[in-house]
Amino acid sequence: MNDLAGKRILVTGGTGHLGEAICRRATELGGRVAFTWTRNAEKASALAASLEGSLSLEADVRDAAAVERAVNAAVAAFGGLDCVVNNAGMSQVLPLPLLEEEDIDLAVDVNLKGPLRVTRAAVRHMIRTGGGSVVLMGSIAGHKLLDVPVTYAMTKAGLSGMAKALASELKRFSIRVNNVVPGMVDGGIARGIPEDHRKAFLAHCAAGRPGTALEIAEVVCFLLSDRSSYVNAQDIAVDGGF
Amino acid sequence: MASETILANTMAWCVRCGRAETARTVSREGGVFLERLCPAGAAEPVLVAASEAWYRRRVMQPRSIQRPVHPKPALEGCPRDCGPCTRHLSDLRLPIFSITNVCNLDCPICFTHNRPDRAYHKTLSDVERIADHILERNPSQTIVDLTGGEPTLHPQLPEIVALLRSKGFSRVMVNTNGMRLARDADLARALAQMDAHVVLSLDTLDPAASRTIHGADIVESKERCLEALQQASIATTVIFVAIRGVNEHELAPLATRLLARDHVLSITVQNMAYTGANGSRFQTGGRIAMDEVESLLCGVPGIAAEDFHTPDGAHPLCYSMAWFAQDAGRILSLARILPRERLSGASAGSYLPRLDASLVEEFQTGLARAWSEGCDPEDLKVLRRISLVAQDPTLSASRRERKLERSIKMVCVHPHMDGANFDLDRIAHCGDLVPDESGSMVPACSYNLLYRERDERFWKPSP
Repeated sequence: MNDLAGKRILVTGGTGHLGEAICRRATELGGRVAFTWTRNAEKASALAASLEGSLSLEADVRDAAAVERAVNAAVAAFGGLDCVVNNAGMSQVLPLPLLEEEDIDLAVDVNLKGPLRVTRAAVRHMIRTGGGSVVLMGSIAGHKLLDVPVTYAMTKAGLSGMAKALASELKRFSIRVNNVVPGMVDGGIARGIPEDHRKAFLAHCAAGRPGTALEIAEVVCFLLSDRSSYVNAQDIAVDGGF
Repeated sequence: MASETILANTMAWCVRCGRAETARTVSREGGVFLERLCPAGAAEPVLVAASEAWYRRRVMQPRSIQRPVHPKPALEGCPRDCGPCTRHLSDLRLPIFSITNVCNLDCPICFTHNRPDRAYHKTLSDVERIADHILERNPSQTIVDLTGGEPTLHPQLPEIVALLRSKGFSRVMVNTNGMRLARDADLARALAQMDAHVVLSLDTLDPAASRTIHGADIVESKERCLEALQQASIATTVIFVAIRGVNEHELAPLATRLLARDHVLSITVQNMAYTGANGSRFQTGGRIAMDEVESLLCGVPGIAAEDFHTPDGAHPLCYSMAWFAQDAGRILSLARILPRERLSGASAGSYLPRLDASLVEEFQTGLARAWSEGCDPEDLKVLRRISLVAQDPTLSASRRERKLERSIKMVCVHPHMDGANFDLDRIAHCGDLVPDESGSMVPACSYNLLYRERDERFWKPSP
């Protein structure tokens, strides 16, 4: 299948667990992928080397100028941009009594303001492209009663509103915006989940197992493709039935 | 031999013969001219446009028409049947009527007739009858324009404005030469309290030109009036009469200065019309055409020739408009954000811009496109205030309209006609109607040229 043939795609946090899977699957489906990273230069090099036609870009989503440079570099390399996956995110497990202002700011800056910065910079070019698809990466933590850090839950919940408002604002340019809401995934940010929490989740999960990064990437790539042309402004849960 | 091209045929009114004659619009070296084919004598051709290309682009276009409701029968032929008649092609857009014949100036350029020997003021009941006739013709009419004489000399001006506001006119415009407002802060406060919109004539800030135009140096009074209007935060339109060889060089610097003032919402440039008791005798260096005025306005930083459009329904030689977002002294043409045809539609049927929901939607689209195409970030800042106000859910519709007016400047070129260029095609499209107590509504240029001097309240008949 070449669902993403000709699509020019920017993925933030490309060296993360989910990010890498999205980059790989999007490339397999025919897309050209530019990805950003912040800390793992070695992995970024290896990933870029393994993905034909890809572009590796160092950029922290907290830095508006860096985001602008990364988007411009992708546009310059690909001649435009069709899709964005806002995958970069962070979580910090801190109970309420220990939360400092800077902890709150950090979560908001990375998980909420970051996707908005990236989307704004990318959409500026996508308007000229004549349409496209934006994917936000939410979390079940923002939608269900779970033992998760409040800063993570609230910022991921915010992406749901962001998707709806942006989908409405950008409909005039045929740009769709959806929010993928993964459940528990093996690896990545879920690695540190305590065993009792893990068991509790699985007890209520119809699939009875955690998801894989590839299963999330499949849905993301579907939303990037024209096959999802009638899907817009949605929270798409990929949680095995929770 | 220089080539000539006929661009249009029309009918023109001949003051000398007192009847309509065939006329044609001819392009030749020096511009586009209206040539009247009057059998009584060779009337001088009158400049219509300096540029044939401009005339072709702006004037030779299809025009929408709006037949008037309750028309009078056409019996004697245009412009003898004004009221308007069944052959008129526009309904009421801007009702404008004189509430007094008294004036404290005797300007050599004045295009109206005012008898100085007998003061006349419309009564409140006269005004109420006129208001009722306007609303009968158009129940949703919100703008009305009061003129004179000098309206501020009417002893009951505040009561008239209050009456019209109570009738539902949200925008009551008061024309003035500014002489009284310059020294009467109480009147300024009263007009501000009633949310009146002042239309100030301001043709020059040069004492010598002032003496030519007004017969006296009244520059200081004009400056003081501007300050009074600003102090009271009264919505203001400035009318500048452009006169070749007298003040046209002042237009761009004056417009630049005025557009930066918060209370000045619009500038209207009226090319000199040689009519009325004084104006018909006024001598200058020749006529100035609409496209020449537009070119002069391009001397204002931020204004370009392509910013101007013809409002839907108006004749292209009677109205040219451009709208600008303004913030912190910087202006940006809305023609760079919105399609020209949408601007034309939004200007139609009104003297002030109407930003309805669909236009706001298109504004947001145009804004995003401009941003996407890499417009100057400073221009985005100029548009920010409009965007915030247009979609502020806490504002009522009327409050939103008022706030938007303060963010959008209108520049309008609006030449009147006189005996030498009275074109029946133009008058048929006129929506600026002069209502009277009987319900008759006469197009403004017909009124100034033919009807006002028959009204003994405003003119003393010749013995």
